[in-house]
Amino acid sequence: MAMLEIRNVQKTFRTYAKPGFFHRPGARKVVSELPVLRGVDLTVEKGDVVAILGPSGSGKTTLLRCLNFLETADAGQLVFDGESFDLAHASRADIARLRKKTAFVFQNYNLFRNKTALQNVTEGLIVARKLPKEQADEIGMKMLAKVGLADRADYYPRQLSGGQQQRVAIARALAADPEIIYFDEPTSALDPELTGEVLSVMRQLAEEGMTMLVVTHEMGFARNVSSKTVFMENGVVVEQAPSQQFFASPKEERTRAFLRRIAHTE
Amino acid sequence: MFEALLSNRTVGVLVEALPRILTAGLTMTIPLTLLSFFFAMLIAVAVALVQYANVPVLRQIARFYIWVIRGTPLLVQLFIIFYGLPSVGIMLDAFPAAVIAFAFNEGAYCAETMRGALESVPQGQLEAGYCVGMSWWQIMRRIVLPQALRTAVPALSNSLIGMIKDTSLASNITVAELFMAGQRVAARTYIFLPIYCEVAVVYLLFCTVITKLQALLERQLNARGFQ
Repeated sequence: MAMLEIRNVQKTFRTYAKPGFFHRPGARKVVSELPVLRGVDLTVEKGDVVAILGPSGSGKTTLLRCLNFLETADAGQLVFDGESFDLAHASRADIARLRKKTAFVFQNYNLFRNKTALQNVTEGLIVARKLPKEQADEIGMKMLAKVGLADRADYYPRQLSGGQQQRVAIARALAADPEIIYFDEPTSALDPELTGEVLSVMRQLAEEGMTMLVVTHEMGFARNVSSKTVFMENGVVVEQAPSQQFFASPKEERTRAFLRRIAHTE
Repeated sequence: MFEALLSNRTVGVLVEALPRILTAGLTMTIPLTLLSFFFAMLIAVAVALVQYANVPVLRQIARFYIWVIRGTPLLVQLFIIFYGLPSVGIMLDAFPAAVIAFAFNEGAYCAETMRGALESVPQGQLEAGYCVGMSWWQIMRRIVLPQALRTAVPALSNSLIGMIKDTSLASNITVAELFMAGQRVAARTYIFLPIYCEVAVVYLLFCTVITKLQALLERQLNARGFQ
């Protein structure tokens, strides 16, 4: 059985007219609509490393955010470990339970700015999971060591480089012992010479069998590290295949056009 | 002209008045300011959070409160609470009446400062908190509010300094604070300019201390990693 299965995820961004002083909640006037997800289906097996590619505006990031309820989808279903969640109407308890099994790595790291690297890693353990501080610190130091930043434990985010911040963010994601980690363009905000250190940490996780769903523009990562590649455009999945096959013999014309464009710029 | 201003008698009165003015300042003005500011901060954080979280009815009440308080003079608010409320059966001593008036007045201004500071904390801080399993309230308490308070320190210090001086209005509702102590000496001795200048200097002294404390606080916060 698949570990994660998503079906028919739909999402439209809407802007509304400014509400008056008194208004009924459902009665707002829609000013503009932009459909970003038009029915996305995806299956992730345990141990899979899935790379999601696609031009900007194709809905990759929105999809990832919907899976962790950072955005509420208009429709869609998510089956995680055999348990089904409605992406449009999940209860707060369901959302909390699902988030305990997942972790998220953001494009711009989003480290807590008032916490040290170690505190960033342990915050969720202490506050959300109620671990005693000593135990949390022990896990935290282990995770920082894993991403090669044990000597930066007491540094604040602003004292770290972008690559280091992203590695702390990965340590924070790992600390919760998640079943899957979502990565939202983890290297897009980094200088080219800093992407390598983040990618090598991700490669190491992949080798250890961590299940990962990675929105990325790094073709090298998709081709060489991910087990499966998904190509999205205009809010739908155009093509998905094992990565080797995906790059060796893409079936869809739109995929081939995308890969050609990328090849030109690389 | 200046000999008359600083004659021997004048100097004598100034020297005699200084301990009275200082005592009134230390026992009335400072406690009044600190107590009022403490309650003002509680009001401000609550009112700002209600708006930040967009709580339906409370948000409207918060806007109404800010609108009324900012749109009416502090002196009028003091008079309503001290001289007005007794006619509906609420009798307050001068000092608590002043604390209530100053707290509610300053609370409205500081609420706007806090709301701006809260909104300046990037949305990503909240999202990161959710993703490590924290609740909204946990994220507010441990991540967003500390960052917002840091941003708000300069503006809040402004409010505190403003408040020290505004407490002189409390003399109008019989609080025997710094300004009233000076007024009494002036009325008794008919020496006005030097006495009121002395009062001004004492206020200046208090405000200078607060400014120094603010700089110290910011240095401490910076050392703890707040930008």
